[in-house]
Amino acid sequence: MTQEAVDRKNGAALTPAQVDILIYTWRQICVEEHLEGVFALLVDSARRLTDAEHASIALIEGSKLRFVGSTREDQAARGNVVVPLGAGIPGKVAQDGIGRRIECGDYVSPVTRINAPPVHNLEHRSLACVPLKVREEIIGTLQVYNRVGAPKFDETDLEALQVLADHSSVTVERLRLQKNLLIESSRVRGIFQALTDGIMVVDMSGNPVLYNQAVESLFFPDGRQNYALATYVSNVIRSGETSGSSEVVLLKPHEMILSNRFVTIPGTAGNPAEVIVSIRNISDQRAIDRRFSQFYALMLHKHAKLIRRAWKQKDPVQSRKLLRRQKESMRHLISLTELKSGPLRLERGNCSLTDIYSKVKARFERGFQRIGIRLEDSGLLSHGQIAGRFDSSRMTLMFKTLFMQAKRTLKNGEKFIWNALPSVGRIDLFVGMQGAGISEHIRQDALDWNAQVDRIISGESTSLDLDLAFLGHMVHAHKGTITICRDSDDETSIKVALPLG
Amino acid sequence: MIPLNDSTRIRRYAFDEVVRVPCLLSEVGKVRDRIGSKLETLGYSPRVKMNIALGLEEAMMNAIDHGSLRGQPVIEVGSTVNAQCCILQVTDFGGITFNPEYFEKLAEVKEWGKGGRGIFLLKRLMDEVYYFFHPEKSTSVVMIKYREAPPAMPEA
Repeated sequence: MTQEAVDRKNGAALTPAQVDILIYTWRQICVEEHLEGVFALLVDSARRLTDAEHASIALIEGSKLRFVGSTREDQAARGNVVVPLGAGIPGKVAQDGIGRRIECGDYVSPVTRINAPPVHNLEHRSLACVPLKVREEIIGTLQVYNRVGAPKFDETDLEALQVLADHSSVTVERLRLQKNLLIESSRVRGIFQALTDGIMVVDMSGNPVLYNQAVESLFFPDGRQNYALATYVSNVIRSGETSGSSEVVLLKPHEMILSNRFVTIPGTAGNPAEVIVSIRNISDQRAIDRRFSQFYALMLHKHAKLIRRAWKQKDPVQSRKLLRRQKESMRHLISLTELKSGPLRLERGNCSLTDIYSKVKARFERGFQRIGIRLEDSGLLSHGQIAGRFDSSRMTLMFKTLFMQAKRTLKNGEKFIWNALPSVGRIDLFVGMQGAGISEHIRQDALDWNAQVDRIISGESTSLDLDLAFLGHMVHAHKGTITICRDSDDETSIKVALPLG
Repeated sequence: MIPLNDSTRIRRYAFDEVVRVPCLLSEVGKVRDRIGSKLETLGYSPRVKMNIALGLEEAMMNAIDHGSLRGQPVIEVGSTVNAQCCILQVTDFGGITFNPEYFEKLAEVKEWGKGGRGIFLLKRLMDEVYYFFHPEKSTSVVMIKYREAPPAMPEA
């Protein structure tokens, strides 16, 4: 047992003046609401209890010890000193919880019992430092410096200081926790505000508990009652779900689309008590759908032009060609319309990609021979039947689109290569095209019709080439992925990955 | 955050009457007539009554269509009819989400047969129209028609 522990065990009777100071301090602490106020009270009491020149309090923050209060008048100028745990006497006390002191300018370690080498310019002739503990956990230190009228702090001083530390540490921790909670709560609220456009808390009867300014402006334009929020809240509560998401289209008169997430918070008895709804205004995001309308209008315009050209065309072959193009484009558009309009109307069934490929290939083979396109598909057909659950009509369309693309872009002697890499539950198809300047014909952004519409609107381009964009939609509808890789100027490959299930 | 001053402002809305009807087109007329008689009693003008009846029919047919796509046997119609306004909520439990804004635009282009005309009509027939989508669970359309001209709303 260390000397200090023996001293503590023996105890030292507090003087009546010290008892008065302690009682006064605790009374004051009881009514103090701010942590900084408690720090000021504690250091002042510590100084008076021990007749010290100064006193300070430090709290542990992670691996550091921060001095948060002092009786020094120049404390503000000195700022809050931070030392690593284990550095200096307070740092050591904060680390192992063993009180330490400097007596008559000498420091004896209570752990090793070895005198530290004398330091002639030592700032403190005497020092006593005790730990602040809450349920055996060290939260900081309380220290007094330079006993007035004596070379060291006596046992009574130490006892009084420790009693002060022991009885005030819980208050310090509680207030610190409260302060941290307030900071954290404000931070969380800030995060919510940043992530959402509106937050609303309602009780299980639908009565609002609180909501933010955004909800006010979203649902009560001009401060008037409307039924949008009332009926929505009713819907959410009635669903009885503990959490979920919903989309609210305020079609008239607000013209606004909201994406909401709600969470039911249980009360103390475990029963649902409150519903928190976070609201995001996604009207702008839905602009993509408005872009779809723009695209749709452009397509109609294009179709009208094609038909006009076909009507004016005197050459029946050219006329049929134009009408075929219009028909093909319209089929794509209808296909995309179905995909974009909510439920992806895929009619999945067991089918063989190899069979579909072979059928489509048979239709294009003669045309390819006429042009002189070299088709290499042993890398696909060597895998035998590649079967899975697909919408066969859309898969047919996919292969047709790729063959059409090759027919349009490749010339005599150029290569159209098919490879496949089956793995468990999925198939990767690699469609390579090798020909002069092929990468100029199949651009990497061909999958993004938005980018193409952008180019038309900005005047950079006058034509749409949406075949691959349609293809992308079909692949995505099957929960697959599609990428276009430019291998070189004369070689481009399209990788289509599809789940087989 | 705003603590609420007037707690009655967004109180949960409870419809005066909520009925569940089978997903059958023959049910549309029954519900329409029931609502119609309430409107008649309260002295709504024939034009407003007709708008409400058409809106309700359209919404119910959409709900039956969507609900039955997922094999749901019933749809739900909530209604509140008072001297100021008629509030109707039609819910199907198919939980199919769609973009009414898109369908409305589709209908504006016209010559497309079906698709979107219902929403296009609802928006014109009723004073307020909201859609609530709970994916895979339910879709509700709330329609409000005021007996007199609706209060002017500032632009959102």
